Amino acid sequence: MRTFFRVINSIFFTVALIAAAFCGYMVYSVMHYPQAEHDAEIADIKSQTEKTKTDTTAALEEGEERLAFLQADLRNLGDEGVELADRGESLQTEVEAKQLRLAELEANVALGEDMPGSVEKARKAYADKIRELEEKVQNGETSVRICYWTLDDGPTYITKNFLDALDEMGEHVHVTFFTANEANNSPDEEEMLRREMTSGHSVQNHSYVHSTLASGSVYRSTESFREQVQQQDDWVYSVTGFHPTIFRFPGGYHSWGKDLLPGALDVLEEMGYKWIDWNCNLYDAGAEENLPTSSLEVTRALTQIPEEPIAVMLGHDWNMNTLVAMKTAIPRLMKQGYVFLPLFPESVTMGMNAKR
Amino acid sequence: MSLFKKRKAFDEEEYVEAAEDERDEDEIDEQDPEREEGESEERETENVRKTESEVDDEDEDDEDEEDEKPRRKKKKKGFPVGSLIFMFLLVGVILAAGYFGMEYYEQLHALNEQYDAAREEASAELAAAQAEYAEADPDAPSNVAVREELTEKLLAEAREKVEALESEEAELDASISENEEAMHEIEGKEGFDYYKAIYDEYVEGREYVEDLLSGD
Repeated sequence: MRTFFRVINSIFFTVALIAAAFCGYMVYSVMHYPQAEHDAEIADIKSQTEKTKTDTTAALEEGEERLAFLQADLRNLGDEGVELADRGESLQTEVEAKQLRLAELEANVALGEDMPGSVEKARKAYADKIRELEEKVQNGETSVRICYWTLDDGPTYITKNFLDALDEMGEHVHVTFFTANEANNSPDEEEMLRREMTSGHSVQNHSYVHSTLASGSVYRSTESFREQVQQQDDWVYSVTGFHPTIFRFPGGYHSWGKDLLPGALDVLEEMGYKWIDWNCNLYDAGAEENLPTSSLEVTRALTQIPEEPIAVMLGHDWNMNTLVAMKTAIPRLMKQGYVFLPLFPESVTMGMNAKR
Repeated sequence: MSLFKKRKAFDEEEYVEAAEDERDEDEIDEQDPEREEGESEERETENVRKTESEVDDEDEDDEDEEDEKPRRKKKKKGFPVGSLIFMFLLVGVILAAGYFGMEYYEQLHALNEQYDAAREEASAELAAAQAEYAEADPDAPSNVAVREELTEKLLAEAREKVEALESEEAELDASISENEEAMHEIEGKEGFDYYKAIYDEYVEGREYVEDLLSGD
C-alpha cells in the first residue's frame, strides 16, 4: 500500500510539476503577449494599404490625364497626327473661305436674276430687325436708344452736303428723306435721290408739290391728295426703282391733314402707305427771319431727343443751319447711346402724331 | 541512536521503528550494562576495519536478518493517510494548474485568433488595393492598349474628316466656278452695281442691328 501510494504520488508529483509548468507558461505567455508588435505589424500593413490606395488614385489621375492629352490635340498622336492636324486646319480655312465666296456669289447671282426683288427681301429682313430692336427699347430691355432723323422737302441744292456729312459720321448713320419734287428743284436731284438709296438712307413721300391750302392743291380734295401722293411715288420710282411706302403730310397730319382732309388716311391706306409726323422738332422751317441758328438747333436736338426712347426728329435738308447743327448733334447723341436708323413702314412709330 | 539505525532510517516510520528498537535495547542494557559495553566495543572495532560498502552490506544483511528475525517484530502500520493526503494535494495542484493553465491557454488562443483575423483582414485589404493599383497603373498592358486603341480611333476620325473636307472643297470649287460664270453675265447687266450697292447697305445694316440686339 505504501509503495503503491509512493508510486502514485511520484506520478502525480511529476504530473503536478508538468501542470504547474504548463500553467506558469500560459500565464507568462499571456502576460508577455507581444500585443505592441502585432499592432505594429497590422498598422504597417494598413499603412501599406493606404499608400497603395494613394498610388492608385494618382495612377488613375495620370491615366485620365494621358487620355485627355491624346484627345486634346491631334498633334499629340504622333507624326501622323501632326500631319492630319495641319492638313485639316488648312482645309478648314480653305473651305470656310470658299463657303463665304460661294455665298456671296450665290447672293449676287440671285440679285442679278431679280434685282428689285432681292433688294426688297434684304430690306424687309433689315426692317424686321429694326422692329425687334424698337420693341426691346420700348420694353426697357436694352440701353440702346433710337433716333429717326428725318429731312423733308428735298432733294435740294445742299442735299449733297448733307449726304457727305452723313458719310463722314460713320457707315451706320442713316436718315430718312421725305422727298417732294417740286418743293425744291436742283439739277442733281435725281442723282441725289439714287445716292440717298445707295448710301442706305430711306427715301419716302412728302407729296409732289408740298403745297398747303394757301397756295396749292395737296389738301384741296381727296382726289387732289391722291394725285399728289401718286405723282411723287411715280417720280421716286422712276428714278430709284423703288416705291416709297411712308407718307409725311406737308405741315404734319396733326397740324394740317387731320383738320383739312379727314379722308386722307383712308386714301393712304388704300394706296398701301403708312404715315408719320414727329415727336422732336428743330423748328428749322418757316419764314427766314424766324429761322433758328445752328446753335439753337443743336440745343433743341440735345434737349428734346433724350426725352424720347424712340425719337423722330423733324428737319429740312434745304436749311444750311440744320446741316451745321446735325454735324454737332448727331455725334454727341451717338455718345449717349443713340443709333440713327432709316425709317421703314414696319416701324412701331407709324401713325405717330406730331408732338411739338 | 546508533549510526546503523540512523542510516537505515529514511522515513519516519522506520526511524520510529528504529527508535523503538533502540529503546528496547536500552532497557535491556540498563538491566545488563556489561552486555551493552561489550557490544559497543565490538562494533567500534568492526567499524574501523570495515568499509562503508561492507557496512551497507552488513546493513542489508542486518535488515534481512531483522526481517527474518522473528524476535524483532515490525510494528504494524495503519492506512497511509499522509500519503493519501499528499496524493489529494497533488491532484488538487494538478487540477488547479490544469484549470488555470487552460484558462490562460484559451485567452492566449483568443488573442492569437484575434490577431490572425486582424492580420488576415488587413492583408486582404492590402491585396485588394494592390490589385486595384495594378489595374489602374497607366503603364499596365491593358491601359496601354486602351490608349493605343484611342489613338487609332482619333487618327481614323481625323483621316475621315480630312477626306470629307477635301470632298467638300472640291464641291465648293465646282459651285464657285459655276457661279462665277453666271456672275460674268450678270455684272454686265444695267443697274447691277446700283442695286448691289443698296443690297449691300441693307445686309450690313441688318447685321449691325443684330449686333445691337445681341448686346455687342
